[in-house]
Amino acid sequence: MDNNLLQQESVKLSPLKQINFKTLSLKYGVVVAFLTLIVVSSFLYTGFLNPTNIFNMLSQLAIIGIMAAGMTYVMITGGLDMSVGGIYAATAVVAASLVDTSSILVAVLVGLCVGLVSGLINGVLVTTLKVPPFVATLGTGSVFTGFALVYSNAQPFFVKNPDYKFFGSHYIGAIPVSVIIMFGIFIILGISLAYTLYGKSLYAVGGNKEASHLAGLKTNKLILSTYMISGLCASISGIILSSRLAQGQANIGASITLDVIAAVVIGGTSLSGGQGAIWRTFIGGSILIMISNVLDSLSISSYWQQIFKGSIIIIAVMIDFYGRNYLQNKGGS
Amino acid sequence: MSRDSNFILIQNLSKKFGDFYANQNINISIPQGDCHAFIGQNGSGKSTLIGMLSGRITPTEGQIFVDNEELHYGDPHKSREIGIATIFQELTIIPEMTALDNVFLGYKKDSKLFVNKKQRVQRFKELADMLNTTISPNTLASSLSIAEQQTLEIMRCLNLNSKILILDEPTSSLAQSERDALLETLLGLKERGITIIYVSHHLNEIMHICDSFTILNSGNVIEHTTIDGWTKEKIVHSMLGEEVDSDFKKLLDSEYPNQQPFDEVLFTVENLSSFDFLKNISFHIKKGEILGLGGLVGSGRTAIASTLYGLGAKVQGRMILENQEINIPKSPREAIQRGIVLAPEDRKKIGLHLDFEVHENVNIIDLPRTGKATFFSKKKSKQLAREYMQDYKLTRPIESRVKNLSGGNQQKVLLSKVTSVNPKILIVDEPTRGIDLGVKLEVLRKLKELALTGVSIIVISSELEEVVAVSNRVLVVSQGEIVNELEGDNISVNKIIESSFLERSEVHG
Repeated sequence: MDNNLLQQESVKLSPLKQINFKTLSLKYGVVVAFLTLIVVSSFLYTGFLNPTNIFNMLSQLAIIGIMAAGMTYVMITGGLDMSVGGIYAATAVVAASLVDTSSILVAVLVGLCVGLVSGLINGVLVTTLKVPPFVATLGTGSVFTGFALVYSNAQPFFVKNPDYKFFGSHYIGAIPVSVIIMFGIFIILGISLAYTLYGKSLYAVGGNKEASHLAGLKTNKLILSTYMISGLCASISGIILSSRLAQGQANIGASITLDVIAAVVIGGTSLSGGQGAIWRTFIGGSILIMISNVLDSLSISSYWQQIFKGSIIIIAVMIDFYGRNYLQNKGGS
Repeated sequence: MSRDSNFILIQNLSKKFGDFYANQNINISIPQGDCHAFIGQNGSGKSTLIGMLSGRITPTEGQIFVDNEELHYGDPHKSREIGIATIFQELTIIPEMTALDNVFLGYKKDSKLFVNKKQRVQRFKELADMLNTTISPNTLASSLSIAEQQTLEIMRCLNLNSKILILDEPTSSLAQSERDALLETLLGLKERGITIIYVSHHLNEIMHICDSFTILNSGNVIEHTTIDGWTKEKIVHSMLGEEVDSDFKKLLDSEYPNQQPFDEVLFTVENLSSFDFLKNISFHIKKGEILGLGGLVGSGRTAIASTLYGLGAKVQGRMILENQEINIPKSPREAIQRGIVLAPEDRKKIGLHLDFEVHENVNIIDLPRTGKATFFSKKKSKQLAREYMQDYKLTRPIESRVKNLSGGNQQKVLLSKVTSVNPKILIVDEPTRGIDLGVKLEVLRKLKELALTGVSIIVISSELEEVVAVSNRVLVVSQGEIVNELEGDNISVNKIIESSFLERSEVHG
């Protein structure tokens, strides 16, 4: 009897025993899916692993990926930013309009300010004014898009200065500048989320806001900061896009918000906050881009692709939900 | 009307949860049209008993007969159909619906495709007349007071032709005038032959409206009789039974014979009010003193703790810390900076980060101390946590996730977390809830030790034996006010209960 109890206890204490295949696959399943997708894709589309195609995909990823990195911060704290499409469009328009009238530097700086101020507005609405994040940012998203339309009178601003194309279309060596910017942002945001005190407190707020408040963390300021980061990231993407197209147009942000959220969620960052990581978002975004790359190569229409994309998001959220429940029950026992 | 004296008949009724008897061998009968009170301390088995009567809990043994018919146990709908209605502390009014719709919520008797609103309004008015209320059927429930919402709930029960009305602490959230009105209403219902079962801590109310009562203690019936010839004092004494000799107290007194407050007064609170509930809270605490807050659940103990910790609302009053007047903290962060920390009641929900590891939880109040520059150092975090937790025997590794720990271990993590920032005042709310005896003792010892080092401690616990065991002084809180102060040999479980049951005027008069 006693012996039996002792044995049970030692089973409980051994950390190795807690790791089983199911837990592991729920935690790192997205990596397996990512690698599988690469293998399958290279069979379906022979040019898939061609360096040109890889850089092509990465520069497509840049725009969504940068925004998704910022979104990850918001979602870690349990929030959601539906306004990134609006910020992205507003920045593209504002930056494009300023390049030829003043300078590239001014255009970029003002563009980034658009993102920061938009994020600040979102953050104040969500924290100080306690508007639920979904509603607040859905509303501001419409405001920012509207601002872009009014500002541009719904006409594109064309950029004549060829140097502006640097961010979106130039290469350093063999690597597109936008891809370098994206990796830079992933590395900075990834490290600061995973390894700094600031990152730790974001996880704390997302995991249990009330307990964090009681522990004296500045929960409101922390949450506000994530919306500013998200806004800043959206404006960086806006600049890259306007640079790539050499024009700023107000109607570009319509469907991108969904893609951005999809990248984060497919990666496995939880919609309920407290869990997630930047590397996950990189993988989530890559999966999204790879799928559409392969479907494009197979000449499947973009309408069908939309159906695929929606389904994948729902499946990813379901895996997140059921998987989390499973892990929770395991933890509780 | 001939009164059936065995209208409700309970025979040999027991309910076991695991090895624990919540109710044991209950034999009582309640006549029709009586108002009958269930009296007892928290955990005496009142809730289980009304749970079985209302059909929510299935008895382990025994029978309940209503009007000579045996109940269908564990079926609340059946119980409602035969006329047993229960009104809980938590009302089931839907704020977005009108008064009329709330009263007819779940009403199926006129169930057709379309509701005959005219008929319903007519019925509503009849019910309102019965209860002497003027609530208009079309008002939204959200714009009604708690008392009016409660009236709606009673109307709902009457509409189902309930013969038995069970009320669980119905006056706990009502103002005095509303209480009086409710009591009058209940007296009126009694006239109409409705049997009322009344559960309350307020003996005044019970003396006012009840005809008979049952006193429960540890799940057993202590007294079952008519109210004639009884006084409040007699009821309280009967309820308490023999003074339980508190082992904790003997043990701790022998282990810490010298734990006495220092001479210096550390912290004074004057005329504090908060939440529209706390009134005239004034007290002081000395350095190294353990001050117990006694009182019933909902008496205002937790509200006092929250207000000191910067979570109050509409706060007024003064605070003096180390002879200097300070602003009343407006956030936990401010309170922590002043040296006041709180280990809250609900460990899992608001006390800890369940998904975080033990060492992260221990360091969360002062994350920067785990940092190298701005980076979080896991090594440093673990090392610090080991230091802060060395007095506690944590039976799991320091990198375990807190959600996988037992309640006792979680409490140890919580206490190390709040004491790790060297507080001047430590407030612990229900520090031993849900943890086993051995760990309980460990926690109480830790409080004594902290006091010896000069920390002033405010202890809130429903386990009054523990309050008695650790406290140098006890303030008894009742209905948002401090009603009594006990010191030295005067501190006993009985004294605390006595003064929390007897209303303020009686204690002082």
